[in-house]
Amino acid sequence: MKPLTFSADISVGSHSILSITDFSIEQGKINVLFGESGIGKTLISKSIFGLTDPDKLSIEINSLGYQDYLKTEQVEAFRKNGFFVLQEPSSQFNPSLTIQEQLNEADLNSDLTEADILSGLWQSDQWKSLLPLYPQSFRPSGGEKQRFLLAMALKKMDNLANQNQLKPETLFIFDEPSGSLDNGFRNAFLEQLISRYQQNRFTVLVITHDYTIIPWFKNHKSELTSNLSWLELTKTDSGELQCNPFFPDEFISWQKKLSPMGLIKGVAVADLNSGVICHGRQLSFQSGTKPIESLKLKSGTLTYLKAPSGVGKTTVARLLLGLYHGENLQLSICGYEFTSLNTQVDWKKLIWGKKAGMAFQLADEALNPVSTVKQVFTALKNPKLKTNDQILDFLQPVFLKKLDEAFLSGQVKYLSGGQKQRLNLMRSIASEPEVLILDEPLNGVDFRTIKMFTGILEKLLQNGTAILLISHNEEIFDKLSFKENQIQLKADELLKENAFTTEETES
Amino acid sequence: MTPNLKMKIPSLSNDTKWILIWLAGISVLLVWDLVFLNKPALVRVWLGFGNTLLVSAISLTTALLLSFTVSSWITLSRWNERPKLARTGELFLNIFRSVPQIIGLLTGFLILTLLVTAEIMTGKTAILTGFGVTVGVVIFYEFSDMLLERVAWFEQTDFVSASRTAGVPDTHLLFIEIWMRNSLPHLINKLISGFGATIFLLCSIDFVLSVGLSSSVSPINFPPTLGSMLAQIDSKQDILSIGILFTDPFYFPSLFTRHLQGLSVAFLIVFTLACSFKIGNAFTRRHRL
Repeated sequence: MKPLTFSADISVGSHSILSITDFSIEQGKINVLFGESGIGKTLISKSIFGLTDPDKLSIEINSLGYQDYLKTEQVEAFRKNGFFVLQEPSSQFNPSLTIQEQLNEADLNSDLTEADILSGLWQSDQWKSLLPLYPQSFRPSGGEKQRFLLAMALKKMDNLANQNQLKPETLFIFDEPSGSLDNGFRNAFLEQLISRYQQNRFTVLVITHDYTIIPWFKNHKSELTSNLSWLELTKTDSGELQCNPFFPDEFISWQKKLSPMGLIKGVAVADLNSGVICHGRQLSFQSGTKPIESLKLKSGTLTYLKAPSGVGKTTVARLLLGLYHGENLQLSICGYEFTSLNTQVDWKKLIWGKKAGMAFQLADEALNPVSTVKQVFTALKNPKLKTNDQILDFLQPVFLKKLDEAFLSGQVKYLSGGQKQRLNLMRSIASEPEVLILDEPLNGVDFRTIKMFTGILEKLLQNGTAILLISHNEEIFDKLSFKENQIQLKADELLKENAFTTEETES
Repeated sequence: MTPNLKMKIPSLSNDTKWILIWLAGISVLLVWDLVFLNKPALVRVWLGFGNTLLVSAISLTTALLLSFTVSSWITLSRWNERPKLARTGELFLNIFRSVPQIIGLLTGFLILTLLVTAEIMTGKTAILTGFGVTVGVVIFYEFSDMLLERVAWFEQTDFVSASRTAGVPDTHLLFIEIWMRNSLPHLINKLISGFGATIFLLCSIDFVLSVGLSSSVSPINFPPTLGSMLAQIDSKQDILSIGILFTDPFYFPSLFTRHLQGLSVAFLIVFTLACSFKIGNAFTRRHRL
């Protein structure tokens, strides 16, 4: 079938924010679109689906003004028979209707039941207690909301299939469908999607940063190879977007070559006891299935902290850096002892910007968007990073292009998602910390940046840095860390009403 | 070849347009007054306007200084886990917040009157500074609330934690990163509304003062401001003369020559307030605040 091809020009006033001439989606196939965060994947997809607010942006699709484009039969068909699952689940729910009502609203209302879909996505009956809830910012959790949205899309597929309307022209777009999901839940969703796809070949566009979806398809759905279209959105030097084919084998062969990095055993530089209570949960650590007394971070060693989403991995990172207070805390870090009685003043005096650092999950939040790249480093008052040359020398190894002073004087908000993530990482290691915590470092980056990141990680470990890694990319980090250094986090709830706090903070 | 005679007209933002409209309106009135208003009244009206602008500037400076001091006190105490210090700052702020602005102003002006009566405060500049400081003290909590809201907004994200753990000093993070680089439009917006609020409060209090504060101090021996000018009997009569139009519509042109003092003062107040409202609104929209 002829692919759906779009050209788009999107601007605010005279400032062009997106320009592409060849955005193509293969009809009747599962299209997977990669690209670093902020490049425009969501904007172009929402625009072609007819979901962008025409009052806020000046949009031209296929040489049509947006108002005219919205009136085309194609957009009407997308809206009538398609579905767009937004990246941020909260924004798609109506707060004045219960989840149950929204699962049966408008064209989702049918004789079909959603119970099987929900049981499949939850792998339990836990969803039943959530149906009477009105969606709020903190409840259901981000992951639960995402699963309800996916259930809506799956239910719509069933309704359309019942009416023989699930055709190659039907477009379902999933924007980061696994953004708040563990791999187990992600796979459960993919299984349901594919079982429907195999019955009726319709068009699917999955927008994601999750490259580990590639080995999953390869290992579990090899029969679908010819039905998959792998795409990558990249930006040329002139700022124009290009939609290029992505070669999944490249990722798979890179992944196969991965091997554990750093030392198996090093000298312990940080030690956090099991049993710390934070936000109503008692946190404990396990190596395999065996409980351990403490989480030890050792020099030159990559420690990989694993747990399902919402259990409190980021809470552990914040406890290690004194950002949260924990009861029963016994922490030794870089030769300093901390207990529940210590205040942030102690951490500030002894640890922050000196002994330990952390690259936070969202570079967009962690960095000041209106600061220049240079100001990000001069703010640290680090004597080694004062002049332009010193900062350029420090940053150059993690950037592909030759950096110059113009790059330093550019504002952070104009950097791509991958560049911001690298800057975020580089700021956290600017003080050459003995302990480095990396919270979801591969969030929002493209394959090139992932490869570069593993290179940086290797160098840091060679220099003796003790690294604590928090990530849901198990397919990558299970291979990069030694089994002995893969630690499971367990959280026992003590106070039910406080249980949401941690999850909310994490999300 | 035909030369391109088209001139490029730079596109102006709506807030800039309203600033220009305000300046143009004031200039037209000045020219009109220079032609038609008698000299003593001309001096009084425009001195009053100048004094009002001066008081506004002093009040905004006072509000800025106080709000930055109190907000940084509260925030830095909180960040450094000094709850008692933080609560003291919040209590100080809440005390000012709990007093209605007009009561605060009246109290301030009573103190000013006592100082003038006791001849401790004599010079006109000193009295105007007293006006400005009084208004500034009364409105500063609004500025503090805005500054603290900005901090709270950034605290909700990872920005504060990420910056502090990376080694950014707290004072740099607060003053430069949060307030200077990320809150300037909010601050300017507050200054615009503070300017309008100062004029409004001054006019209100001057009306109250026109009843008389003491036998020896009255708006007559306070330096003139727009409010006190409006409270004068001449100005009141000028404004009341608009009522003549109901019985004699042909009197309309005479309003602009015979009753110019009161109308000029009224125009300066209303036009300035309306323009500051428009400037503020356009600025808010432009910066999506």
